[in-house]
Order: sequence, then structure tokens, then C-alpha cells
Amino acid sequence: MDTLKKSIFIIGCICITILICSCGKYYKPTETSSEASTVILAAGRHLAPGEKDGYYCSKILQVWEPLITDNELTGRPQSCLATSWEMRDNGKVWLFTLQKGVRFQDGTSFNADAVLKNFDRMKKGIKTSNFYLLNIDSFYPGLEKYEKFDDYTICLTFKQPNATQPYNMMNYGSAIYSPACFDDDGNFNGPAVGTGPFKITENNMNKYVKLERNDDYYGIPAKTKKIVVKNIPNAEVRYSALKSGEIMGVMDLDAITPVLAEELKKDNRFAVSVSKSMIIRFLLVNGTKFPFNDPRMRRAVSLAINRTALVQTLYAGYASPTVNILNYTSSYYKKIPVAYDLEKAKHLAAEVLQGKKYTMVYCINGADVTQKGEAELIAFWLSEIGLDIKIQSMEYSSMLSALRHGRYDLARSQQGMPNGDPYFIFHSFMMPQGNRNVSDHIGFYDEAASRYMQEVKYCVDEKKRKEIFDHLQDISVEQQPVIPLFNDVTIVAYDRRLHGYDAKPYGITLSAIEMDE
Amino acid sequence: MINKTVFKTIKFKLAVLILTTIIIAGIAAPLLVPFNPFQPDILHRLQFPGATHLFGTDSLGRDLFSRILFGSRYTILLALLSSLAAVLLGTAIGCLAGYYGKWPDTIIMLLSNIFQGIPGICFMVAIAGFFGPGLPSLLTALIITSWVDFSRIIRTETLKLKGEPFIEGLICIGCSNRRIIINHIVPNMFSSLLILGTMRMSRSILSISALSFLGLGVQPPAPDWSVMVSDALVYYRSYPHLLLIPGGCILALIYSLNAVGESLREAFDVRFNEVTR
Amino acid sequence: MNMKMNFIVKRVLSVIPVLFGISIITFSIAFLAPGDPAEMTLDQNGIYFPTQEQIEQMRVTMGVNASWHSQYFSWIKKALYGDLGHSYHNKNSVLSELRMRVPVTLQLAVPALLLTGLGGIILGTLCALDPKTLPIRILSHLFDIFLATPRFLLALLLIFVMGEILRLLPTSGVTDYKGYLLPTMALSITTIAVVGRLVKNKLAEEIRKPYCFIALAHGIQHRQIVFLYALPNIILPIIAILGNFFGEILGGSIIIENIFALPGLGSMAIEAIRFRDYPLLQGYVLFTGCTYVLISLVLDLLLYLLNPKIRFEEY
Repeated sequence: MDTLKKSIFIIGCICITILICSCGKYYKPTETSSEASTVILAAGRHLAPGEKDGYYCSKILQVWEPLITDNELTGRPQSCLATSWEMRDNGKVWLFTLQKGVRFQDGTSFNADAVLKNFDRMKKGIKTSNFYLLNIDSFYPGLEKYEKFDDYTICLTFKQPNATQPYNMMNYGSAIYSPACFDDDGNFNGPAVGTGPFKITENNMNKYVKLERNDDYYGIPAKTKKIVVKNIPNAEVRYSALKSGEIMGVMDLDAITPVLAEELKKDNRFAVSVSKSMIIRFLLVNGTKFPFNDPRMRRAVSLAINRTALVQTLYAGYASPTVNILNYTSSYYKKIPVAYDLEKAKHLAAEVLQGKKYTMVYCINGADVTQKGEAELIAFWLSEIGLDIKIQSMEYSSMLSALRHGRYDLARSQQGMPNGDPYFIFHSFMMPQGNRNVSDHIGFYDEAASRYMQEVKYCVDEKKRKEIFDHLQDISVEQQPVIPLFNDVTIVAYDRRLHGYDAKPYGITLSAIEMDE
Repeated sequence: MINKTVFKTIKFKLAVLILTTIIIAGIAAPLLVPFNPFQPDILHRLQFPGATHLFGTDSLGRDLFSRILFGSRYTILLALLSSLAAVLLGTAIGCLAGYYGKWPDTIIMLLSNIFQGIPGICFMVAIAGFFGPGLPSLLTALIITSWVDFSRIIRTETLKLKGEPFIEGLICIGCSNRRIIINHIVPNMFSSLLILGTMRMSRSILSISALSFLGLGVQPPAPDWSVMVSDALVYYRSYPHLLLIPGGCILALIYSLNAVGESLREAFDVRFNEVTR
Repeated sequence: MNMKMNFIVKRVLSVIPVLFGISIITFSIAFLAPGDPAEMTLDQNGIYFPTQEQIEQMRVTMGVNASWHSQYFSWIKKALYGDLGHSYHNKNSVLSELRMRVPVTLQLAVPALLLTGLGGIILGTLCALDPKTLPIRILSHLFDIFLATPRFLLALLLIFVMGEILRLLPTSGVTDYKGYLLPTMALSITTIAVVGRLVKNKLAEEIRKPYCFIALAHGIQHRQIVFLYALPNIILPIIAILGNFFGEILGGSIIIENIFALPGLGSMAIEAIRFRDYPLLQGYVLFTGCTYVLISLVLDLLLYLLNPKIRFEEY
């Protein structure tokens, strides 16, 4: 009897303590969901990774603005904080004229001194980021000095001619912040302060970031006063959250999967908006060893994949099949018919494999469910041309390391276009010293391609450039340094009470969103 | 003495029926399957259960029924393999600790305390995560996290047996330790081992399915049941059969393993101090 | 009193080698795992590639070219001061990451544990009261079924039914308490079934003991016997094993947090795996291990104080 009383007493005590503890956390006042004028959205990652990130937050939050942005239609450089620019000395010197009358969100004014302080900060070293690596050497290759010409003009001097410098510094390449928000190491000392139409009012790490309209914005002000962007890493959960009305829209890359978008369309409370995306998905092939050191084998694989069926089956048509390594948003994109010819593929493969079966490793990113289905489908198609495929699902970093050390035959990968200049892509994949060519063991070398690349590097004549890039695309289709599968489509989904929620290559334009009263 | 009434309950009979069906299905899968479980058929994807496709087809148009049949092989083999390994390792270590006592016992108990200190699934996820997904790390993770339960129980059982007069007698007539353990102690624990093994299997399947669901377990294109569940994630809203059929199979398998284990335990009247789940 | 103190001191001291061992395991698996930490630190976005010299230099700065034991000692020394290193992929310190994540998981795990204990004991006792009636028989079959259901299946069904079809409860959210209801349910249903069945079986066993027969022979009602005699006798061992379920719930939260996209410890572990973020994963294992061990310690001591006669498995 005694034990019972004692134990009930103790259990009671524990329960009450725990209840009090947990209630203390439960009933914290939360304003996020209650305010009527607030628009709550969600993205698949935390869009403001914070002080240690090179950019603090993604560009799509519109907190900071770059000197030069990109034209959505043509992919060419477009003025933002820099109103115009001028090339001198064959591209060794560049002058940028800055927008006048702009203030940072903390009230300090935007001028050449502020821009130079941002350069000083970039000079302090490489900063990692969840978006793009902040590395002054890649945005400003061979930058010798940066100085101000007058209060609203800056002047950059390079060691060698940089004919396409404005492309290099588009968006993330020229992000400008108020000098007051950097600490001594070049990290942020609090929320980022930029010139954009929104400012950050609260950043709850990995949960949500709250934005408020910057009423002193120099351009067209944002239509919505308050926006909360939640971090919901799982696409399924974002879908559920939309359905249950917790959020009104999804944004950022891979906002919603094609299948879920189709599912959502069945509910007339929601709408889906699509746009071309700057991302291209492809199969990497290890060209440094048999059998993919033989271009015929790469062509065989390319011909054996029924891209149209793939896109219809797994992506519900939300993707555009391609054999061209250049993304279809580029103004230099050349439309080349997508071939599927199993007989020819068998023939080519038989020539290389000499009738034998070959077992190979196909790496995929385990976190992406669709890649798995895709791999199973492709593995089946390739089994018909004599390739026996072992699918290996890996996490992101093991995959990187497998690529880096050439421990793979096929791997699913992707590439975004950092800017509208195709040079980057062709250099990366087709030049012997190109970034991805080296690091992913693509092992591609083509003499004609290298010659064209040399030529285009210093070519400023638009027509000539176009011609050369056409040739390069033809070579890439013929030789298939990698095996392109499809160009991505940006899909966003939103509650019909929102207006202006249109998909853009990189998500949506936050400042254009408006909610029905 | 064996209490045979347990074997007459409907629950036990049902469980045995399910288990035999699954095992036979697994063994005879190549003969039974109406379609190639690996062959996609894009024209007939995402079909509901019907006459041609008994359980419908999945997102790539593969016949679900054939995949379920083949899948039972993976699920059962993996569970069997990992449980067997865990039982062997646990028994060896447990006997060692229980029979010899003294410092081997102290060390082994300390080790098992340490291994028990990290919650099972967390430990498994960490191992599978550190060493990358795949069969070897999956098996390692399962064995590392499950030997402890066994060795503790076996140790207690060995201690009990060691006190029995017949073992003392064997020691007196100069029987070697190894002989005593292998010929006399282990056989005497057979019923316990059988029961523990059955229960372990059901737990292994649960763990494997959790890991596979997180993408850390069985790799495609193996039609493992839990892989099929996680494949269905994208589609289950409009095609619930993709989720419910493999999910139901896992449930049925674990249910019957639990029931058989439980019935055996009652029949042999074995009790363990440890809580096993 | 002396014996009491003796036990307590012994029990507390017994935790030290266990914690030490956990730290060794944690460190070793990261040490043995494939991949070069230096390369991984430099190489997190896959756009720019470090050179061989940069990697070499990073190895030296990170101290990963030293031997196992010297690395372990420098790691443990820092860990004792609360410095568990920095995450590779988001550069936050592991400690601050833990501080951010732990409350989320606790808000899931603590109510789940409470539900497990209370729900399990209440339902289990209910089963033992009149085991022959239909609802009770259904209940005990439900126990068996829930015991066999993988947690993710349960969670998916809950989301589908409660969130999307009925729209009763939110399925994502860290903003208010409602968001925690579904995950907590998904987390605790299995363990409630386990505890419920355990209580049911233990009670059935207890009632078959001679003293209960005698009580029955004296004309005391079955109900009274269960409540007054059987239950008090089995309740302590049940509480003793609740600590085990804390581990179970912590483990289960990996799946639940993943499905409901809650930024807790479990999703931290998955994130760490996705980025091969060893320091973060180490922090996770170390934290869950230590918490689990300490909670068992507290529970054991509490039970001992309640009933010093209780016999524990040796530690």
C-alpha cells in the first residue's frame, strides 16, 4: 500500500513537472499564423542561412541587390544597382556607373565607397555559402585593382582582357550590402542589410525568416507588407502544408515535384505556374576509362534512352527533353532534335563491347526519390544494349567524392547556368582543364572544340560568337561529353488568393505577390 | 514441459499460415510471378488492381504482385541473416561472460552497457550514415546494435545453468570448458534462442524498413517491401494501393513473427528479465 | 543508510566508463568512416574544387593527419569544455546547432513519453480488468497490430487522414502547439501498444500468483485485486523500463521528424548524413547517448529511493 502511494506521488510529480516544462514552450505567443496581412510561404531549404553564409540570404528574398542582374527573357546582363557600364582597353578596364539616390535599409547611402567596402570584404577570402561560393577570383578573374572614379562610378582593372566581365558578376557575383553589417572577418554581424524591397525582421534559424516591406525602396515597392518564408525541407510536407492551408505558396528550386503539382491541380483552390529553369539534368559518364572513353559508347547510351518517355513517366511532362548541354534559357541555345534509336544504339554498343556484357556503377543522389525511379528505368533501357547496371544511391558528399576520384561509370548530375554566357558551360565540360571535365573525370578532349573556345574567348562580335557557339553545340551533341537528359522546368504552386505568383527561372518575384483582401 | 494449448489458438494458426505463405511465395517467386518484376512498362503505369495485374502496377509500370513476391525474398533473407548473425555473436559473447565470470564478464558487461547506451535506431542511422548506404553497412548496423540484448539474456541463462548440478558434475570429471559450453550449455538454451531469434527477426524487419524508408537501407532496384513503400510516397494520394499493399505485407509479416515468438514463449514457458521489443 | 549511499555512489560512478565508451565509439566511427574530412570541408558546394595543396593545408589545420589517439584526446578535451567542433556544411558550431534542435525534439519526445507511460498503463490495466469482453479483446488485438506497424506507415496514414482529408490538424509546423499533435501521436502509438501489452501480460501473471487467489477466495472483487494488489506490485518495474522507451522515442523521432519536416535532432542527423557532416553526426550520437544514459541513471536512482529492495540488473 505504502509503495503504491509513494509511487503515485512520484509519478504525479514527474508528470506535473514535465507538463509545466512543455507547456511553457507550447504556449509561447506566436504571431506568425495569426496576422491576416502576412503571407506565409515555404521553401525547401532555409533561405537565410545567416551570419556565416557568404550572402546571408538567397537573392530571391530580395533583401540585397546586385550591381548587375540578368534579363529574364534573354539571360543577358541587365542593370540593377549599376545603371550602365563601359568596357575600355579591350576589356582590361571596366567602368560601372551606379544608381543615384539609393539608400540601404539602415539609412546609409549607397555610393562608390560602399561598393568598394564590399570589394574589401570579398578580398578577405573565400566565403562558403549555401548558394554560390563567394570567391572574388571567380567573379572577377585576374582583378588587379578596384577604385572609385567619382562618387557614383567605380573602375575595375584586370590583368588580362575580360570581354564578358558583366556576365561574371551577374546576381551573386556583385551582391552589395551596407558596409555596417560586416564584422572584421567579413562575416555578417547581424541580419544582412541591403538595398532591396524587403528587409529581414526576424531570422529563426532553420525554421523561418520574416520579411517586411522596405518602405524607402527606390524602385517599385513590394505589394505585400509582411512575408514569412518557412523552411520545410520535405516536398511531401510542403504539399500537405499547402493543402491544409498552413502556407499559401511554395518557392525556390524544386519547390514542388511534378507529380505533386499534378495532384495539386485537381484541387481548384490551388494553381501551378511554370517557367523555364536554368538547370539542366544529365548523366555524367566516366570518360577516363572503358567503355566511355569511346565516344561511340556515349552515343549509344544517349540513343538508348527514351527521353520523351522518361519525362512523361516520371516528371509528368514538367521537363523538356534535350541532347544539348547548353540550357534552353540561354540566348545562344540551338534547338537540336532529340534522337531515340534503340537499333542504332545496340549496333554502336556492340561495336565497343564486342558483344560482351559490361557491368557498371550508376550513382544517384539517394535523397531524391525521383532519381531512383529514373535510374531504374534507365538501367532497364541500358540493359538492352549490353550494360548491366548497379545502381548505387549515395548522399551528396559521397557522390562528390566518387566523382572526384573517378570511382563511377555513370552518375546522375545537374548544372545550373550561373549566367547567360554559354562560355562557362562549354569551358567547364569540354575544355581539357575545365572545372567539371577534370573534377568529374569526364575526360573529354576535342581539338575542334578547344580551337573554337580559344576563338570565342576574345571575340566581341555578336554574330561571330553565335556562330561559334552553334558549332560547339553541334560538337557536344555529336560527342556527348555528358549525356543530357532534360532541361528543368521551375514549378511553383500557390493558393489562388495570391496574385502575381509567377514562376521565374529561379523561383518567384516576392515583391510582386499580392493577397486578396 | 511444453504447453501445447497455445498452438491451437486462431492467432497462432493465422500467423503460421501467413508466414508459410510468405516463405513459399519467396522461394517459389520465379515460378509464380506473372511478369518480370524489374521490367518497366510505361504504357501500363499506375494501374489499379485488376485482372491482369492482381495488385496493379507501380510508377514505372512494373507489376506490383510480382514485385511483392520477389520482395519477400529480400525482406526475409535480410532479416534472417542479420538475426542469425546477432544470435551467434550474442550467444558466443554471452556464454563467455556467463561461464567464465571474473574479468571477461566485467569487460563484456561494460561493453554491453556502452553499446546499450546509444539508442538503437540512432546508432543504426549513424553507422549506416557514416559508412554510406548499402548492404554491408546495413548488416553491420543491425548486428552491432542487436548483439547486446542477446548476450545479456544468454549470460543470465548461462549463469543459471552453470549452477546446475550436472554442469558441476561435468567439471568434476574433467570435461573441457569448450566442450561444456558447446555440448551442454548451448543445447540447453535452444528454446530460448529460438524464441529470441524469432522476436529479433521482427525487430530487424522494423529496423530495416525504417532505414530503407530513410534511404539508408536496401538499394534499388531490389523490390524490398519498405523500398516499395518509400517509392510510393509520391503517388499514394491518388494510388493508395501502392502504399497499402507493401505496407500491409510488412505489417502481416511482423505481426505473425511476433505472434509465433509469443506463442513459443508461452509454450516453453520461458521468461526473460530484459524487455525486448 | 550506508548501504543506500553505497548503492547510489556505485550507480553514479558506473555511468562514467559508459559515457567514456560512448565517446570512444562516437569518435571512432567518424574516424573509420570513408572520406577525407579536409576534402569535405573544402568541398561542400560542388561548384569549385580545392587543389591538392589546399587539401593538404586543411588537413594540417584540422589536425586530421595525426594518429587516432592524439586526435581522440584533443577531441574529447574540447568536448569536455562543450566545444564539439563546427559543422562542415553550415559552419555553425555543433553546440549551437544542438541548442537549436534539442527543444524541438524534446517537445515531441517528452509528451510522447508521457503518453506512452500513462496510456500504456491505463489501457493495459483496462485489458486486465475484464479480459473476456469484446471491446477489450479488440483492444488487445489492436496492441498486436500497432506493435507490428512500422512507424512511417502510421505517420503517413495519420497525415493523409487527419491532415489532408479531414483537415483537422496541421501537418507541418513549429509555430504552434497544434503542429506537434500529429507527430506526437505518430511517435507514441507504437510505444503505447508495447507498454499496454506489457502491463496486460504482467498483470495477468500477477493475478495468477497465490496471493491473488487467496484474496479472491476471501471474496475480494477481481477489480479490487487488480487495483490494490497487482498493479502496485508491477508498476515500479514498468516505470523502470520507461527509460528504455525514451531511447526508442528518440530513435523514432528521426523518422517522424523527417516525415513531418520538423527541425529537430532527428532531421539534424539526416541532414548530417546527407552532407557527410561528421562533426554534426558525432554531436548527435554523443548527445543522444549521454541523454539516454543519464535518464536511465535518474530513473534507477528514483526507483531505488522508492523501494530500496528492488533488484537491478548488475551495472
